[in-house]
Amino acid sequence: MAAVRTPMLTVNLSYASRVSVRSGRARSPMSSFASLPDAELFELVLSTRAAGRDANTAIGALCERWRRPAGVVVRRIQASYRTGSPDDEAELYQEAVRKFVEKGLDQFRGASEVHPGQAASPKTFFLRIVKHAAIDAYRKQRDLLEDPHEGDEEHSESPHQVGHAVGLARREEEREGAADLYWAAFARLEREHPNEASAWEAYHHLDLEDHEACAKHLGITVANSYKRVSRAQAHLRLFLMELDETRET
Amino acid sequence: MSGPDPANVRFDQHHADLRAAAGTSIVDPERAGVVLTMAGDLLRRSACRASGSDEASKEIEPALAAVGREAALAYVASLDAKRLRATLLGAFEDAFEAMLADTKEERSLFADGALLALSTRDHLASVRAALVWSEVDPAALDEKLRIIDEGLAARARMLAVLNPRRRDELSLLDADARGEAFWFGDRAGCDALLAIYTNRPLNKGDEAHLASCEACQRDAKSVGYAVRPAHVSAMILRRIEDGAATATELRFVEHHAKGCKACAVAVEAVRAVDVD
Repeated sequence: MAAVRTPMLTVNLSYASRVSVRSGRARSPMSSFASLPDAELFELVLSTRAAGRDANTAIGALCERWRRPAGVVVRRIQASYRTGSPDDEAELYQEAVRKFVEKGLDQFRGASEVHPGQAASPKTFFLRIVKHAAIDAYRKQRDLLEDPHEGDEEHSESPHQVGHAVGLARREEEREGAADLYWAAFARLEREHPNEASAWEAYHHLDLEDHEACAKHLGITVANSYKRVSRAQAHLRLFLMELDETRET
Repeated sequence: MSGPDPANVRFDQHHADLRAAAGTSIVDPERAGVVLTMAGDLLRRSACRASGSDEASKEIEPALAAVGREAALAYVASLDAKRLRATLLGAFEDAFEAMLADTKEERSLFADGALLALSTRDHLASVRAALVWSEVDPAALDEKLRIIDEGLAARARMLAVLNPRRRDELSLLDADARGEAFWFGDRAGCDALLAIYTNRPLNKGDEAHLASCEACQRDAKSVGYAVRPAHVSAMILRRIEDGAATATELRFVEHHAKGCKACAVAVEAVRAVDVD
């Protein structure tokens, strides 16, 4: 994976290094964290941030404890994809640290989503970030390798390739943003116009793409299938416009 | 055959009622609301006054002088902002339904209903204009209008099917009243939206409009983002992990993964690698 490292990952690397370097320099605070259990150290991170102070040293110490389990998660994802190298572990760990700091700390709610009613551990939360960072990375790598423009320069980072990787990363972000927007619009369609949503789902999500098949699937007339899909399209488009505008503002 | 100007016919009754109100003493809040509305309608439409804009004071002032201040404020207090907001929201929904209607009759029914509800909002603007003319503090009404209008101007794209009639209404308003009348004015030139919603080819007029209208360009871009899911997104994968994926999302995932190896591997990885 390092051979086709995108600029995004390069940025991640330098960010995570910054956290690690700081934690490395601050030897005394690091050693003072050693006696704290994960939960207490995590609380310290949250309270330090809430007070507007720099929590990088504590975050560095906390994430360092999870480096080895993170490596296990990465290797298991690699096994699923039948790809990857040992070098990827460090890179994906750093990517996960970045996500944890930038978004994860604010998103962590302390309640388990998988087991409602139970407390979630920050470690599990972090390892999920690692897991999805790895899946994202290997999906992107697959896209890169399958991209016909990659050509012979796969193992270098020429300006052309870097520019191309930037383009791909941007395209990927746009695609993900568009997908999120689509599903939010579709969820609204399901709430406000369930019949239209069912027709749209049959026609487009389940690839029936034929009003006779769609009508049969839903137990409605062909004319009704056509009407519902047309109405769904108009509503979805309206919702996309409204959601996109809200997102921008 | 040319008949009387429909706008003038519509306001004939206003002229008669305002003349009848002049010289009386109006203490009933409901009656006060009627007179305030009619007076305000004409204050905001100088071209529709009986004898042109110069005659405003002769026609309107005596009628407004008949409305007691307490009756005017009591009328404002009687307005139910939440109900009025629901009415206005209904107008937006009805206008969108009019665009999707199967028959001419159905389309007319929805469009007429929507326009009537938009007129209700316009009447409130008239009441405000009349209060200001009468030097009655409009603050209480402004607070209700804030509740009624919240976020609605941004949804004016839903009114596209009414645009020709909205433009007619807008043209009757004086220039300074047009700016605030989002119910008639916002996106009133954006007829291209109808083609965008229904995925019809743009006609030449639509194309010309789209070339110069930033709002329509933005909307066209938004619908271009996604009209169907292409792959299982990272967000859906996280939702599967969290147990938060909806039944619809899971049906799509199961179906799509059968024909897309890349997504199948990703879904399998999410399910196989347990970090708990």
